[in-house]
Amino acid sequence: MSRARRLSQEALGVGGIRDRPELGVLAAFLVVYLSWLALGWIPGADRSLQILFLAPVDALVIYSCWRAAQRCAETPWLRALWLLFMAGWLAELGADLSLAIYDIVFDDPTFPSVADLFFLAFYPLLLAALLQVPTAAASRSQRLRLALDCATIVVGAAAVIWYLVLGPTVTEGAPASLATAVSIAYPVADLILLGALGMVLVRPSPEAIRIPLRWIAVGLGLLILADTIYGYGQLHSSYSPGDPVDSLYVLLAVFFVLAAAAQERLGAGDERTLTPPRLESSLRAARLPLLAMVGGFGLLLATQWHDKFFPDLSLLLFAIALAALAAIRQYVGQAELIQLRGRVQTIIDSVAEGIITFSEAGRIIWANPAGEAYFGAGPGELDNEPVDTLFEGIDWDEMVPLVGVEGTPGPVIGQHLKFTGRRRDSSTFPAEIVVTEAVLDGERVLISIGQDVSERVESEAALKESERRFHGIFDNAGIGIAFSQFEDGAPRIAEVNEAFTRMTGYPAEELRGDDFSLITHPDDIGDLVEIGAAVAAGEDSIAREPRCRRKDGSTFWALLTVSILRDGSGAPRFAIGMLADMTARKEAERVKDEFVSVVGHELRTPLTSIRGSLGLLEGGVMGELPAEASHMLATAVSNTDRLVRLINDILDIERIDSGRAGVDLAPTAATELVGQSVQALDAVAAEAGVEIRTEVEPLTVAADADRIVQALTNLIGNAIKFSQRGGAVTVGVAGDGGHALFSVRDQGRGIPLGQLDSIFERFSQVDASDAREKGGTGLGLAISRSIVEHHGGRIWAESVEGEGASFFFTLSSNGASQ
Amino acid sequence: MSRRLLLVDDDDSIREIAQISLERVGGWEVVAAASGGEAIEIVAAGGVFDAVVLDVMMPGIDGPTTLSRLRGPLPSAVPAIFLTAKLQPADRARLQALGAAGVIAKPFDPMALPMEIDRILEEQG
Repeated sequence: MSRARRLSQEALGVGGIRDRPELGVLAAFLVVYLSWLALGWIPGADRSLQILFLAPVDALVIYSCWRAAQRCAETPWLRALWLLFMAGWLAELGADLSLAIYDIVFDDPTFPSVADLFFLAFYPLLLAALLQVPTAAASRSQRLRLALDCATIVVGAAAVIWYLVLGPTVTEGAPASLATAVSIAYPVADLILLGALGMVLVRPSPEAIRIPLRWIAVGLGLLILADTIYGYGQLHSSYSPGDPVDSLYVLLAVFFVLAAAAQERLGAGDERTLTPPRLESSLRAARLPLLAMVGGFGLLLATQWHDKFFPDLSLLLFAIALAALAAIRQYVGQAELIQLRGRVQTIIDSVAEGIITFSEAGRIIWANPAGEAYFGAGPGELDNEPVDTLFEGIDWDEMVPLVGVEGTPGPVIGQHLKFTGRRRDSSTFPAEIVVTEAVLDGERVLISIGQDVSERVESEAALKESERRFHGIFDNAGIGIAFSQFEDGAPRIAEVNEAFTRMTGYPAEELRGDDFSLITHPDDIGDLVEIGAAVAAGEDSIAREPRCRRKDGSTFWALLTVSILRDGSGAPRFAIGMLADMTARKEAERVKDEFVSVVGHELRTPLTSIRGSLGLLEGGVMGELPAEASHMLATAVSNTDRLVRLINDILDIERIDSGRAGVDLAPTAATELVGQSVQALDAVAAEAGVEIRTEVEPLTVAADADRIVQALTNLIGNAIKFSQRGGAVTVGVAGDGGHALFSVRDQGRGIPLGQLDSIFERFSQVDASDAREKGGTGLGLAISRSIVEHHGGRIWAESVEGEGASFFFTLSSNGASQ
Repeated sequence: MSRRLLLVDDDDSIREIAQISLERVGGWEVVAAASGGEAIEIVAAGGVFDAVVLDVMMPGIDGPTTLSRLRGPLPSAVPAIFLTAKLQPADRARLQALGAAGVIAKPFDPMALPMEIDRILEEQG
């Protein structure tokens, strides 16, 4: 990129003359105009014709503004700004054409004229355009400061304009004449425009309009200058058309063309350049008011030596106003700084990080409260201490090359460093700090910002320890564990432990990504389908006992327990599959079953002989026995029978509770179950003199018939045992929703309230003498409960003591039987 | 005319008690065998019976096997009744499937055993 091109880009903000034909036209115009000016300096040339140059350059400004407005068509405020400038310059064009007609056609420069009407329209339109520029948000004190700056500019300029133009016009012009009013209107309009310009210039403007505004500010400065010179000339009747001041108006137009040409095209994505930057106090922003202040006071001083026009009083008022503004501005600026400093101080005091500044010599300059607290020091106690006392194993002489010198920072600058901090009580703590450098009051200082990381170090260590421990559990667990992630609704194995690979024979790599179907026996894939359905139904812990297949094709019985972890929406995220080899347990169960069966057989065989011998003796088969001997034999027979029942019941409950005597559910008629049970006890009931009544609804229940008959027989047998001779036992079955409610009621002595639950425990008797008198084993109700619960039913007792007891249990029922 | 019954049980005491019970209380003519093999020999030798009572668990040839061996020479109309000390619902079903007319649990009441057998035989028709 050529230097000229870069300059043009920087100054104008445009790619080149090609994009901006108005710049070419402007150059051509300037050549003609300057040539003409050169000619004009030749004595005898008609300088009044200069006015003819104004109209073309006005037209060029109008065209440039139009083009700028088009380039910013997507940004409403920018478009409005340029269209308002264009309108202003249309008024200016009207004014210049009117003047030209007065001057050339009538040769009669009247004042005021139609031209002044156009001229006076120019100012409000420019003002309206300037007011389109958006400004940054500001606090109240900032707004006050800006207003003061702006007022200073206006008052400073007003002092000059008052001194040169306005004062004399007001005091010396014809009172209440139109000419005087118009003459006053121009400088007043200039001041208002200056106020608006000041408002725009004292605060940062959006990037998009920054360069055009610079040119516009120069142009408007020229306008005010030209107006003042022109007004001064008119006042002293020294102005004639074609005076050099007219060139200032041409120049004003030139700057507006430059401003419009500097307006870049804006697209939709340029919000950033359209937003005003943040307002900050800067020396630069204070330059304009300072200039106005110096100008105003300079003028005041000058007039004290050389005052010809009006009394000192009015200028004194300006001087007082400027001085007051200066004083207030000073106060406001100071207040803003103090507020800002206070805010920074508050932040530094309250940050959790310790901030410690120290010199290149290794002496602490200052530490913030957090920094002092870290080292157990009180306020100010660290100041001027050597920095190497703060840290273990640090010697400043060794640190010097590491921190480097100004201009060539050492390797530790800007790095995160770990040190062991030493408190004033000599205890230590792990610290992490960053050392940066800065130049304060011309001297290089080092700033260390850091914190006590004890807690983090401890929690990291604890986390590591806990992770190590849990991984140890995972790795060394005796059961196989597979950690899976859900993908597309299926759990894919991500990680397996040692036991899992050992049990299945598959290496971890081959298991990764599998959904457990690799290790499940093809015949038992249904178990996986069931687990999937359970997960979908919201269950979080599911166990199945499928056969598993090892890599070598051999199979084993397994217990697969799947635990589900869900996300916030309840969708499954992770599954932890736990696999236990059940082969040994299955074998142990088989051995135990066999053992129980053999024990049963081996106990019953000698009992058969005993019972048989006693029975034959008691029955008199071996001849009549004395009465006492018969009585003894009867006792032996009944106790042998009781021993047999006890053995039967113990073996029974063992089988049922262990779940090995699995219930075989089949649809069964309730009448059938009750009928069988009652029939089995007919003889017992008749002997006890108890009547059995049945009230059975024709229901079909899901039951293992033998087992339910066993339970019912227990309940009815109990009821008979506890009934008086002549009493009745009622066996009922009633439908209850999806259940059948079985009931067995007696009219016996009943059960105390406190024992209604405990009677279902093993070897529980309401009365300690019952076992002896009633011949029960104490296991009947426990067996009945086991049977009912293995059917998924519920069993309970109700009783009013002295009025009998009722036993109930439920079975699921699918309605009336045929 | 007395009824003849073949009693097979390896336990001497039980066999003796059952025999006394059946003969004296039930009025049977009892031929007792101490093992399956002995029972088979008795039948093979031309023994004719109205009923067979067998223990299930016996060393050597067990009750069900003995019954199936007896079935050749012994007409199937002769009812067989098992005596067993190992009676679960499943066992009863299994024995009945083998063609047993009935199953009686051990220990039994020797005074009631003949009646029990008569009841089973009546049911059998």
